[in-house]
Amino acid sequence: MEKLRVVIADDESIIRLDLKETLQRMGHQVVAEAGDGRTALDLIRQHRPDLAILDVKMPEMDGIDAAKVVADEKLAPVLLLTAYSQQDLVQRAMEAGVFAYVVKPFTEADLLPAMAVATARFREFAAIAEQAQSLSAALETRKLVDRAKGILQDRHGLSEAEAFRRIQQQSMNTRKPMREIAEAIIIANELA
Amino acid sequence: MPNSSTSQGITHPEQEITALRSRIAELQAQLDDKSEEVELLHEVTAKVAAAPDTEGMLQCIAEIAVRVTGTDSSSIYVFDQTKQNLLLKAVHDAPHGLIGRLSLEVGEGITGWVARERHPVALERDAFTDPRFKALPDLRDQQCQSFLSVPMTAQSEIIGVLNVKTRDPHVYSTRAIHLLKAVASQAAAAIQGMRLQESMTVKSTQLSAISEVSKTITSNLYLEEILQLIVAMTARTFHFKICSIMLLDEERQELVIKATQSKSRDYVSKPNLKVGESVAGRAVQEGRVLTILDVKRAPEYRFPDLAEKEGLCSMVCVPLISRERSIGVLNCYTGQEKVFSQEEIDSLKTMANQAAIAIENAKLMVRSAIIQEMHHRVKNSLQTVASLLRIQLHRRGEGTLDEMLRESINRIISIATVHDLLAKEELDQVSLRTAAETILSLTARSLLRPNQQVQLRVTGEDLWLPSSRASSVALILNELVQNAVEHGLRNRDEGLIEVHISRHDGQVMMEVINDGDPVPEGFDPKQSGSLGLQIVETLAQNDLGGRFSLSTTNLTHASVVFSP
Repeated sequence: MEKLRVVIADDESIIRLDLKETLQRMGHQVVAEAGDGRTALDLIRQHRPDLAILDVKMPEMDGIDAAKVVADEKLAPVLLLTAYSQQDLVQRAMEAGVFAYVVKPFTEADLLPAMAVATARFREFAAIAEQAQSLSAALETRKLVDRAKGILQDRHGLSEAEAFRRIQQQSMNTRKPMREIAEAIIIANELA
Repeated sequence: MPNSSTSQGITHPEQEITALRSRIAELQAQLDDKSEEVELLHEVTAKVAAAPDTEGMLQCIAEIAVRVTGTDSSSIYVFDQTKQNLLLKAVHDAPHGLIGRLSLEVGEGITGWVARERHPVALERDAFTDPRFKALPDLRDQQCQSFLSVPMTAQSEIIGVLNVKTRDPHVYSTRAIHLLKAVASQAAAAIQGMRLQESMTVKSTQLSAISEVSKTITSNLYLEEILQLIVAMTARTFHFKICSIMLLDEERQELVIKATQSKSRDYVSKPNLKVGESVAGRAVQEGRVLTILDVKRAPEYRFPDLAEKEGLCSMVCVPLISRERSIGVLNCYTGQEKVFSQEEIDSLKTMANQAAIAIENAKLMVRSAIIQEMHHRVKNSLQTVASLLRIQLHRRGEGTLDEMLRESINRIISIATVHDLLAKEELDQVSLRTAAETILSLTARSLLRPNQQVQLRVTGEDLWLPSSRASSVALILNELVQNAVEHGLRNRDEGLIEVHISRHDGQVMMEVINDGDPVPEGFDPKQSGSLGLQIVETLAQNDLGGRFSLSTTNLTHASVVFSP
């Protein structure tokens, strides 16, 4: 496993110390540590770590609530530490966007796969989100170009292929994306 | 003489005609009477329907009674089912001052006789000489010559008595008696109707109160709030002056007020009751409903002064019963004398049952929450133990295996001490002194050599630590005591270890003092690399938000200062 920059949070400092040492021995770097959820959230925003390990039961803001914000802001993958192993808690954690959890008392052997799952799923999730975004941009361009083509066909009596070729030509000549050319044609048509 | 016409034949036609005419006249008169009666009953019905309340309706009836009988005055008594007596409710042309105050027992006077026998009495003259007569001077009864009294019954139940009187002798025709009886039964039916309606309204209010209470107890409110709602709703529904719920403290066998809607300081702060003491205590002891007509005059009632001051009168105590055991009592006081009907008592029992269920429910919820919290704490403590062992594992080579294991055992025992103390305390708090005494003795004794004579003592103040901080403090104490034995007193055969607790400006100072070898010159706990001191530093700073220092003057002081 590659070396990760980690933010850790647990309100019991002995457990935190142990977690920090364990992570360090695994070759990771603990960039910041906190004793409550709110401070943890601030530190995660500040350090943008590769992984956040949060205890569930903490003062100020519990680990699940902090994880929710971290997930909403797409800051980092979150691994939860919990003394419980109840189904409803796990459910709540999953809904909050937590990718993995470890039940206390934990061992090094528990941490390793959970950390791998959390980081991998976060990356996967980010990739899918990115893909979705680029697909929706392409779809938007396609819609605009279609409308622009229609305008050119109506106004100049062009065939569809000819209209598309003109937009493409213009894009190349002006070194502007086709989307911008299509938008300009639509605006010009609305003004006329 | 029905149907005489056919048998007598037609020999005397004139005679026949005369007979028929008189027969017609007779029938006509009967018809007139009947129409008059029907009209009268119509009038009674209309007036009864228009009356705003029972009092107004009875007033109309009293007036009509005088008119139809051609008498001077009238009076109406209504039978009170709870008190089993007759109460004057309306008069016409007689002094009004006694309405609602004058009452007669069943069988007392002519009115009482009529109520008992359900049979009318008609006296044409010298009514006051009748053996059943009872003089009621305030009603000017003694001036009456004639008296007609008819029972008011509905569905064979006695509802009241309707009387008419004259100052002079008066003949009461069968027809007049018949008419008055008709009026009386109309009035009786109307009263019963109104009563039913009232009791329906009362019942529906009680039912809605009970249903609201049952909704409340299944919600997630705290027990105090639920009990508060029950007393407030009971007081409002039944118009009680004070309503309270006392719960039984099993250990002390005392009843403690847990909820009341009363704002009276005196009531709220009245002392706890022993089981069996006063009315409420006896209701709990005997597990049955007790009623008192006037607490101010009941010798067994414990707080007559309070009752006097707050204007309390009648009382009903309903035990809260859960699984056949009294767990408390619902107390209700009125401001005026009141006889509680069986129906009211039944409704109050339902309220009390609801309260008992709420209490049981809350106990179960608390128990399940405690179990969950305990589970969490144990899990967390085990994690702390695992962490401590792993931290030690990472520092292999700092001592012998024996030493490492002994240190670990002491750490585990100091965490266990806190669990132990928490289990003994009802509150979620631990006495710092008790914790210190236990840890000092356990840790020091496990590390001292058999021939070492070391005095161990805890001095100074005591304070309560919340459970969340108690384990940190216990672990710190363990490490500091361990250091005192292993470093300060290592080369001594006798010595002293003292834990001193003091407060300065809201901060707590916990010192572990020993009279052994001083801390070496220039010793920096942060740079020492000792696991024990690292644990102390970490816990003091991060978990307690305090600081740790080590100094030697003539004694060695290892102190931690933190906010409690």
